[in-house]
Amino acid sequence: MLFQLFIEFFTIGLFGFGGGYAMIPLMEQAVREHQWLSQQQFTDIIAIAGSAPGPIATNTALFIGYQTSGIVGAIIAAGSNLLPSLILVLLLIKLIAHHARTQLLSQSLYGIHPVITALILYAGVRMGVQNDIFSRSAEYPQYLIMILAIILLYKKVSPVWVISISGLLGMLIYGL
Amino acid sequence: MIPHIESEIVNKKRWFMRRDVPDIIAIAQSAPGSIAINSSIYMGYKVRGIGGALAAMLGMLLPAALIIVLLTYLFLTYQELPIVEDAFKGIRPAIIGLILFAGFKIGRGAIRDLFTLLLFTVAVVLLFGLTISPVFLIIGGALAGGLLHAYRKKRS
Repeated sequence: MLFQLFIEFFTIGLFGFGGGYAMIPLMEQAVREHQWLSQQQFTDIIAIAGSAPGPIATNTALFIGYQTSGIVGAIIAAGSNLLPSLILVLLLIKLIAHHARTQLLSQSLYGIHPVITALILYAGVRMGVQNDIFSRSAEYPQYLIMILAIILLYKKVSPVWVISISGLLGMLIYGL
Repeated sequence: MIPHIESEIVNKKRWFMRRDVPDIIAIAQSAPGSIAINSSIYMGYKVRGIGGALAAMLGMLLPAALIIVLLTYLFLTYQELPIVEDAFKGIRPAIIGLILFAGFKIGRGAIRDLFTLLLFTVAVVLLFGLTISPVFLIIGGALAGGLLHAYRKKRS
């Protein structure tokens, strides 16, 4: 189990080009494949990871590791997720002296980023379907909250506030 | 976070010059993972070698990790309370919005010409049409970018 966590989170860390959110589709895939969590639990974890300070990927890794194998699992998942960043930043510092290599790197990233965009959007749609938001049984307040969240984020409101506001709205709409 | 880091390392500690900052960000964005973590690794390494890189990374992570442990504990303890369930019913659609917006934000910089638009479209079709591993898609994107680079170089 721990070995599996290490391999999965190392791979996720290695391919998460484009910031922390780039790792979400990879984590979603791993969680689904190994049935570590339900889709709803995964969405809830991202909510918690997104409302804490610090990188969303590491926070999510901590939580998944903890849920699957306790404290040791949390440390292994977060550690193996960070290791590729550590190795590659140090490697890039060494390589950056060679102009030709950095050009090849930036060209590869030029090809990687559109794929990452597709992966993130696909994960968003998939999670929306699994959480009954993009489905026939969805209720219209859920659409409104989703659209409100996108507008607030576009207006540069921090995710912590967006999550808090939508939590309050959930309490008001479903609790009263 | 970047302006905050800049004021700390350039103005207060004087570890770096202002002209170093674009380099730091360029490397941090090229490596996989969070940009804040990657820039802390870079700066730690420049100031004090491998030990410095590890120290900077851990320093960046620990406060957040403590908060996440606390939040995890609260969530696992209270997740079954009706009021918490109601809150999460509101939060879940916001998270979908958050992820779609993250895709939009990366896409705005990533899709800048016909070639990148084509790559994006192919990736979307493959994802919705086949069950293809994301890792293979990313490798495919890197190869496509690298090959285009080689092709343009040969022609020029």
